Amino acid sequence: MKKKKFNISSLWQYYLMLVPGVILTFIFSYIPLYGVIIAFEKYNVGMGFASPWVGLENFRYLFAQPTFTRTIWNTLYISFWKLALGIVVPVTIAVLLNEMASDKLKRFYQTLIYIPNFLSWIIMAGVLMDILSSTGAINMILMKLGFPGVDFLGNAKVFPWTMIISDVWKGFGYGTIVYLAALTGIDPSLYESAMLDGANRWEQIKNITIPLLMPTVVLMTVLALGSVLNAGFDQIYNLYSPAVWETADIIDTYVYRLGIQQAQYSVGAAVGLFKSLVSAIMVIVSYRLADKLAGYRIL
Amino acid sequence: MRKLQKGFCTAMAALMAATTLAGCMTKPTTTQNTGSAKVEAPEDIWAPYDETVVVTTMGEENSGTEFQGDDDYGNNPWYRAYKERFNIDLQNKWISNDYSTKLNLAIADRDIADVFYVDSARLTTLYEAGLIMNLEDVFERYASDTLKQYRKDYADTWETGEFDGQLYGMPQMNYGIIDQFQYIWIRQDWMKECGFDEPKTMDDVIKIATTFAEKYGGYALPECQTLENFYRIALAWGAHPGIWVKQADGTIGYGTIQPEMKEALAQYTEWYKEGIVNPNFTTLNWDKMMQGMINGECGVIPFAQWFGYNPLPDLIKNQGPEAIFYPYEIPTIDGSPIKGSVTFNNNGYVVISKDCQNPEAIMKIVNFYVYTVNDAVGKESNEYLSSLHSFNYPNVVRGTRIINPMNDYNQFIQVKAAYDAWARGEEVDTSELGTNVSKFESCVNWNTSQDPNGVGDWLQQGNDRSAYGIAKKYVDEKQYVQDEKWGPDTPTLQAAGSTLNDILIEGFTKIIIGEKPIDYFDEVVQQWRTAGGDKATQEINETYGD
Repeated sequence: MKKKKFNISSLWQYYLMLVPGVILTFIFSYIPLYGVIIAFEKYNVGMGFASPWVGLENFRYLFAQPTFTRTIWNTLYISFWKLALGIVVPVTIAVLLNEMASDKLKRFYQTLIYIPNFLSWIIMAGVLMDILSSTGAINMILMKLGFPGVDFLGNAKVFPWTMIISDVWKGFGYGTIVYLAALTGIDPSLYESAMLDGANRWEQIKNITIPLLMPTVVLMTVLALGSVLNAGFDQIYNLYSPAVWETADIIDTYVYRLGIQQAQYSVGAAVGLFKSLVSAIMVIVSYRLADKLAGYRIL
Repeated sequence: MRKLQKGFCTAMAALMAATTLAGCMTKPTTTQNTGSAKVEAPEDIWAPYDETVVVTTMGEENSGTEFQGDDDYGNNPWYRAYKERFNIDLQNKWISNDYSTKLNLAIADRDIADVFYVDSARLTTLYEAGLIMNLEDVFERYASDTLKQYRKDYADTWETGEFDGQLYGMPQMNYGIIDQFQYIWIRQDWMKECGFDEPKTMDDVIKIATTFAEKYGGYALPECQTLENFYRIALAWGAHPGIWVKQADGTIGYGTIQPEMKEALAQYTEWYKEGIVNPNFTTLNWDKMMQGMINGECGVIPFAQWFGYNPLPDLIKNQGPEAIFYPYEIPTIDGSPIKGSVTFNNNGYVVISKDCQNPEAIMKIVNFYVYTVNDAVGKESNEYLSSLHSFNYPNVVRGTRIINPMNDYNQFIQVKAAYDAWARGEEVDTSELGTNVSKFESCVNWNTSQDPNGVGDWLQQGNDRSAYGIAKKYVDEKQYVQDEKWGPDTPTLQAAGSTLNDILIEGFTKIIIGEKPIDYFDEVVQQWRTAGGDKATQEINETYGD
């Protein structure tokens, strides 16, 4: 594309339309950034931002906690697998659904898998606790089939995978719809010419569908990476217990216990800042990598 | 076409900009922080003002309060009494079901009421921010004699509301240490069917519990992921989890990390392995454990004195009145008398805004509450006192009340005597019971009609085997260990107290479920120490040591 010369006289209306958005973003997103300073203070609600300055003390305190550092690893581990499976599963399902001949059946499945997405984790947690408990449906079936029972929620080794799989199961309907939408955007003439060249169904998927889906995959991944340090507070908080803290305690649940029980605003702000910084770096790096290695760009 | 589009854009842009700016320019409305301007106070502390004084407060919504008729938080027997007796108009700035968050916002906005209650951490916050009044003068001049006597009798608690020897927060006290003891509660119909007597040793307790589990299903001992029941039963080993105790070397140490806890933990782990402790406990939170109790899954539970209020009424509605549980002393391992843990317990502090113009009006309100619980019996009609103290109405004045720490002890003596007289068929003069008449009546209701709402009071006070009956002996004979931390948390505990406890709960859980051996206890304690436990211990010794 040829670079257009910046010409304010012909475009000024568009810039004017941008103004309210810019002002609002400035007021509600940039001015509050000032509040970040409480991460460096010993915050006292009565004194507000004029609370005593303690520098990096809050960060030092946090990282000196023996049970904090493991939460970073737990967060990354759970997040990574949720992210990875959260792409692979919906893409696979979307491609499969796309290949389906009956439109009615396709829409039926699409709706069916999208439904769990609307249930809140509070409800899902209650259901999962019943299904997965040692006397629950799944363990009953396992034992009937002669397998040993699995302590899905109480075993520290199994628990993260209970979280990952149940989260992917709950959320993959949404991803599937996004990828299905992207699939409908693929020019049908590409398939026609491929068929003329003698490509079978599998070759069409491999050489047309998947490559043309990649920009959407990259977009979704980069967007998701921004929240890689959110491993799913709602889900884990409602299902975890001290027995699995070792592998299940994520940054958010840890800070929640720290903050809600002890009103530690400064430490809470310090964690928030830490998470934002890491997320920002992740987004920038992954975006650059996608651009460099695969040539995919969002804009 | 192009032109039209352009014109449309211009118009849109102008419109959007205009609305945004309009939004920005709306001025926030200012609120009036405090009540009336200064009004001359009458000489006599019990006399009404000549002119109505408006005082503001902030309060917490309480689901237990059963408002009668048109009553609500702004219009109820207490508020009407203030108006009638003192010509004081107490107004609520707000009532919230999330008091602590709303209070933080109010403090951050510096938009606080004349009078409200705070916890010890916020008392310090408010003092440091200079938002509350030094109460020394107004207390000296306007506090009633009974209130001044409280300050003398419970000087150690009142000192926690002082900074540099000056009173800033009046401690609201508590209902008394008689509330704080633990028991083994045992289901009576099963106990009779199996022919068991009162358990004398821990083995008896386990025998009863396991027999119940074999015979009636479920599990022998309930537990939840926060190990509440383990902490209660650990008293049998002479451990005092959760409080700070004098150690052999004379220094103060945390009860939860003492060697007795390790012994208790070893036995508890054994019980878990044998299937005595609910094998599912790691996934149960407290509510879920209680749900199991209500479903009748278990007939023995270590619990506090209020088992009769929750979950027992639901359990009885579910399983019938025969499913009642009675409290028993926890038998110790070595046969010595059990010693309960008694903690410093203060419900909060009454604080007055430094901008309050009529602080003496607040002293009158506080005096009046103290008067109704101590001096009013005989002076006021029984109906009047009970109109103030029934239906959980005292919770409406949560921010301005100061409780008598002998309240429940004295109440028990009165209610028990009246109930016994009634049970013998004697005429009971309820006018002497004052505010305690409703407790007496619900004991009678349980006896006559097995009203599940009365079973709590009956098991706490009325029954011959009642929780307070057992606890009174502990109190009278000083058969308890008092928390060495007799006051608010030190800075490290305020900042990290619950994180520190989390480390212990997590470690203990791993031991109980067999993931780690019992000697892992020492490693857990070490983790606790490095995470701030040592620092906390040092602070406690400096603040509360000799």
